[in-house]
Amino acid sequence: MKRLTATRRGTQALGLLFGLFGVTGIGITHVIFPGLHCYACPLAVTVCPIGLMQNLIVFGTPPYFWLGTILVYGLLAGRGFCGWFCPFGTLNDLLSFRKVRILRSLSFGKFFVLVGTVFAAWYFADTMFCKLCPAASIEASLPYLLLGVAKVNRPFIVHMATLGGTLIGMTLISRFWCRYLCPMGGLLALFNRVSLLHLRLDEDRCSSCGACATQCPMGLEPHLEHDDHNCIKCGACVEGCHLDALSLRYGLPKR
Amino acid sequence: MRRHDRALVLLLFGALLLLSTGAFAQDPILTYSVLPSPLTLPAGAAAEVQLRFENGSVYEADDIAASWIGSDAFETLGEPETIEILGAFESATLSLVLAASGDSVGEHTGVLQILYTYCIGELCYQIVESIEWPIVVEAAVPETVGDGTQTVSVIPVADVHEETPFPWPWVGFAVAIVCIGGVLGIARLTGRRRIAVIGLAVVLAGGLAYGIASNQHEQAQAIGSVLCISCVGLEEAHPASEVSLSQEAVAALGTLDEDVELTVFYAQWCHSCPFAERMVERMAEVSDRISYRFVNVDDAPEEAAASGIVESGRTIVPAVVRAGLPDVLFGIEDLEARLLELLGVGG
Repeated sequence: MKRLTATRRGTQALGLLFGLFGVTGIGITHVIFPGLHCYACPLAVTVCPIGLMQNLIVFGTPPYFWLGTILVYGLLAGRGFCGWFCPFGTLNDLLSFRKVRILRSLSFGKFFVLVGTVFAAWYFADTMFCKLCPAASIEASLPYLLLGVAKVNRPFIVHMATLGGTLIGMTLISRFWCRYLCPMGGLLALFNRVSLLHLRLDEDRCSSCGACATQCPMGLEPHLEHDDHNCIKCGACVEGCHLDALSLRYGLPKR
Repeated sequence: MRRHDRALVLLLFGALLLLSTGAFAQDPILTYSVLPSPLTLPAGAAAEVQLRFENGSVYEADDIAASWIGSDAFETLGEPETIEILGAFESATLSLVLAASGDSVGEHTGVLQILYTYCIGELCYQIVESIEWPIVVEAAVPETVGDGTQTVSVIPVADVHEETPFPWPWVGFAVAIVCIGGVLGIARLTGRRRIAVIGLAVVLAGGLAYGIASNQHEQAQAIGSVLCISCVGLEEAHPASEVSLSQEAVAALGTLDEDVELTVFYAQWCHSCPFAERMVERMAEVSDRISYRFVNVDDAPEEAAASGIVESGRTIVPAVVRAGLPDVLFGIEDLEARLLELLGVGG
């Protein structure tokens, strides 16, 4: 395994530890998790940004704390959290078998999901997205079924259906959920161009061979669109480039 | 990385650290207002005063009481009211009757002392504050009855339209969103990203500071540590209005021959909790052997843990337990049948 991938597996394991396995113990749930991660999970210690956002809309609280935290994450790494930390992103990663080209028009779907989530939370005064969320299917529905708290009922079947659909999508199209549907990805994507973690292309070295594009799990062509809102900064292209034209950098943008 | 880049990164990580620290200061959690303001009443008469309390925190305020500590020219009549519990983000009104003595014509400053307590886990705080508002006593010939004592007719609070406060926090939030959009737009169009980062950092700092000052991080924790079963779609939520006991349930409850105490654990934002509460209420109406109480899990985390409604560190609501039994009923699906079984009268 290459160095970047090995590091990334390490941070993804950290994401799993912090998100799912409660290493820090209960009590820091006022920390918002930088990824799509159900706070209902029996071992979760942090709160899901999308779930919290919906709850705050239902309460009618102007979500300043939430906004500030999202900006922190957006500036620190943007969608880098999708590639390096998010547990559901990690699941997407593990099922990335077919790295097909991204459909650009469909990739705006995640913004529709985000806006739809906000609207539905306001309109129905309920956390509607959570009832469909495939991360909640894995992290809440299934564990609570095993714990005997939940039963096989209509909401459970709906959850299993969305999870099944997403799993099939992920298997056929690498990072299917992250590409087209994830509202958290949509949020972080807004800050992708200004985040401190960024992908840099040295144009003098690039021969436009397209080797990077074959490696990109998001189906991008990094040598042409290295600061795209779909880029999750995972570094697969950096490793795929034989000429060292691409690099992951951390710091303020040049200008 | 250049030195100022590092400084900014450090700043951002500092902000992250700030996220994980709770504010445990002993702060007042209630805000209050008095109606009518100013209070106008004739000398020798009495008028009703309404105190409105708003709880802006995630904690419950208990035993809220108000007492007159102003000049001797006034006194409160009747038994003082108290508000036993004011839940998180709720508001309530307390009224008291204030009587002005006969020789108190003129302008006064009313002073009321407000007393209440709230607990964060094991730590409980008692808050004592006072509130001042203007009182105008007008000259008036008090009605007298035969023996010369004054009659006191209480002037009710006039139909005052309560002004809804202008939603400044929402305006600020909208401004923040516009700023973010503007900065991102400028960064996109001109390619000047560095200035965008700084602009966003300013909005970020402001948002976090205001959010933490108004206890939103505590609200996030409260939302995160209590799981309402219907919220994440483990079952469907039903409103309390849909509660109705079946004929069989009423008949079965009639056969209950021992005293039973039921406890319903609930949370403020739980959509299906009112259903569980109403169901237990209805059963208690049918059978007088059932006593019940409702417990807010934010207010009594130890009791919640002791009652077994915490699974892997997460409190789950709604939950019904019967005193003396270890069983816990989670959720509202088939609640009637499960409750009857818990009561020992199920089919």
